[in-house]
Amino acid sequence: MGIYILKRILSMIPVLFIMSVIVFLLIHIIPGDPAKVMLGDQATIVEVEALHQSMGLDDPLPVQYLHWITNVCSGQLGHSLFINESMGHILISHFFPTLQLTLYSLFFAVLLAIPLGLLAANKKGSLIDEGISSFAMLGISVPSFLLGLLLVLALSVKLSLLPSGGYKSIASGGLAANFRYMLLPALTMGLVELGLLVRMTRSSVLDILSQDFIRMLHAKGVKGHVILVKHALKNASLPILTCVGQSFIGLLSNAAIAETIFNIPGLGQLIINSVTRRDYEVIQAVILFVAIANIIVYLCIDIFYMKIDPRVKLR
Amino acid sequence: MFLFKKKWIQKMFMGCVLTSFAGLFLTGCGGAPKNAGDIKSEIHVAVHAQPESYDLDRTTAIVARDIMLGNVFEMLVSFDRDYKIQPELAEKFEVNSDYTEYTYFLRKGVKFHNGQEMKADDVVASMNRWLNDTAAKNIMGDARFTKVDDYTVKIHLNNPCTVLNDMICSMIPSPIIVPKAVIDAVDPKTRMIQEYIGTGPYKVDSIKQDDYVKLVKNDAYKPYGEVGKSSGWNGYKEAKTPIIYFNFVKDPSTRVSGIKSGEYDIALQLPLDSYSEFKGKNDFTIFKEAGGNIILSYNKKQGISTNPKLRQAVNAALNSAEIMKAAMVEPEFYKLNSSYMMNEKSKWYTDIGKTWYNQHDAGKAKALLVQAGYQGEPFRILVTSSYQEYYNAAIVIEQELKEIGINAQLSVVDWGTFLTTRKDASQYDAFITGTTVPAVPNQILYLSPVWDGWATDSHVQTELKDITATVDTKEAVTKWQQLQKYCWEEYVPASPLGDYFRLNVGTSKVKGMDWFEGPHMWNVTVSE
Repeated sequence: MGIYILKRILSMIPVLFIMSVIVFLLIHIIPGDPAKVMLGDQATIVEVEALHQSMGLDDPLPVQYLHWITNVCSGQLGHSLFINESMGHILISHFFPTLQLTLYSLFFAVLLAIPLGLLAANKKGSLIDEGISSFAMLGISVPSFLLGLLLVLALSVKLSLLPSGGYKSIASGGLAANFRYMLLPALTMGLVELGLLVRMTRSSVLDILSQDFIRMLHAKGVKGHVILVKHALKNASLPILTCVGQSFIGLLSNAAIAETIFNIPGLGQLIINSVTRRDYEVIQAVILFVAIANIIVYLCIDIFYMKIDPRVKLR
Repeated sequence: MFLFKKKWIQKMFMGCVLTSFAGLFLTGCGGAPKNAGDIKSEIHVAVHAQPESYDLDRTTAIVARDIMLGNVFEMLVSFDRDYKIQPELAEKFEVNSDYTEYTYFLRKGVKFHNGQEMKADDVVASMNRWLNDTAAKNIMGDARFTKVDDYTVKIHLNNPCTVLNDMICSMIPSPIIVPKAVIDAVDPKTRMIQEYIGTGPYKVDSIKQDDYVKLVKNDAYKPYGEVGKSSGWNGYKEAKTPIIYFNFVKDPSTRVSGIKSGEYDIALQLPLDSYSEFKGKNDFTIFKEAGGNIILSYNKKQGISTNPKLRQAVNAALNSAEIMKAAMVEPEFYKLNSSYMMNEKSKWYTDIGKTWYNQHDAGKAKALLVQAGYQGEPFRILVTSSYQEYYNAAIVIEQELKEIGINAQLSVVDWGTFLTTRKDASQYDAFITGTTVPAVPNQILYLSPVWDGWATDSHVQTELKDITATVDTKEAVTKWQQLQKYCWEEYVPASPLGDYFRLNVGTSKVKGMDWFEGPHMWNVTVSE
């Protein structure tokens, strides 16, 4: 397994390199200049050019890229033109809210999806199955931003149950306050993933339930719920696990929508703001960071596969 | 791990986890009990944008000024609500009879947030930085502030200038007073200050990028003036609420829901289509704020708009009433106004030139097009989609110009691209933007030779200098009126479309707010 992990890590390098070149070119090709953004609408061209020069934005693109990639290889991810903090601190401080949001969302999704999927599979063809499938379809179909706005309207504005937006870290507000602020955004994102996971769970379990060994278990007199949970779910867990992993990646990457609606200072907001103000090195660093996170998550899934199903061998 | 294999332990563990989350959920739904009549210890202001810099001496971002000016940073003089110049960090000032020398006598014992006393060296460094790096030097020339003694500074001008104090009070970037050491330590790359140390009733506690700016009460602050009397930027300023959060909430619907749910006490620049949700409601107070003018500014450096007849033709075709209605929607938030100077209280306000405003005269426009020799070339209008009102105005303008035979084409870009493209004279023939409220004519951006649009007309520049140097007020005003007429009738540097106002809302629990060109957090409390 160690060799497999090493191979996967080494295979990341060319991917990340190609991606960094593409992203660098893309963000420099689009019009826009951080000096102009920094000085504002009423700045004169003389003021802008002076700042442009002092920020080193006059250098040719290959020189700028070389400078940046050299720093990355020596462990420095660059520096922000607008945020007076180290890039590592910027990434970590923005990553935590996004990670929390992702984990809370996934927790809700999995907590509800597995039982609902099992129930739907067990009651296949019944009204319960139809109801759960419709609910799942609704979750997939409704855009997350619409769902978020509706939840805010209902639970914050009308009922005053939860805050409409904002973020409190565990360090500053405690776990209860953190959870309180994350609940609505987590529900918003979780309900979308819930739909996907319910459908995946249902179809995977149905596949298993149709197999001979399940019939044998019934014949032996094993109770229905034991067959469902202990045998069917366990054997259906591989595709469900894949779906959970993909949901995690999807939530991490698509957090920008929820972060915008609920005003959470996460990676999504960071990248949107950085693109708006043309903070080039932050954009590059965030994309690299998310790409590495994606690769690590898929690697973890592969390792989990091996743990769950001894038949799976990693080479 | 061995123990965890026991089923009852597994069940107990799951039970604990679920109970914890249920507890968190129930805790989350509530909040701390509040007593009516208590004053909040912190105020939350939802701000629509995050400034890229808080160095008010360098940035022109209005939102930076909203957060910092008056709260954290102060100036030598400032406007009261009637736009009269009042002393602030200067206890008094003197101007000689021919307006070539200004002397400022500084207040003694004013402390910066780092404990250091403000003295002449700090003021000289701050004011000269402003003169060196901003458009103020176009008017002041080589004149610079000098120290007379520890509490006196002066500036001697080569030419008379009647508007220096007006410029100090209103110009953006603003001449804030910071310690000399802070200026000496500016970031060499960005040329911005690295510490935000001012003299105001609040000081910067922390800035969390993409999240908030937190200001805390400056205990060492001694308010100026008469107790309880403040007007505009000036007067008795007391930090009655210890902590102010300016939360960055870019999404307008989030600001609306936030103020309605009580998450924020004040919300800036709400979308105008939400106005009906707050108008006439006892739970909210509306703070309507003059935003500036929306203008169609012509490219006078390159392209077909260099032809004044073409500019006159475009101007003649415009129906400002329709354009402003499309842009702002709510009639209470815009005003048709032919004066280049928006402020009706200002001596510079005049409607001379109104004949050439809001003409919507297709016949006249077509005749002018013929005189201009227009051959159907594209008339490229640059506009940003980041501001809905400008984009809406552009749609209507495009249609109105097409109706008189101008091949109008919109170029719609995001804000960052808009700022860059505007500097390239080959990319457009006109652009739409908003300007801030000027205090004096030479602050009008579209009359500047260096601002995008490039109003390099020699008559305009000569007259502006002359107006600034004219000591007699009536004579100066008369000259300005003639210049405005010239601009409307002949030169047409831009077509001001109308004045616009911003919708800001506070809950009814906000007391003591004197909204004047931005939220003034001093003297403000919010009850529980």
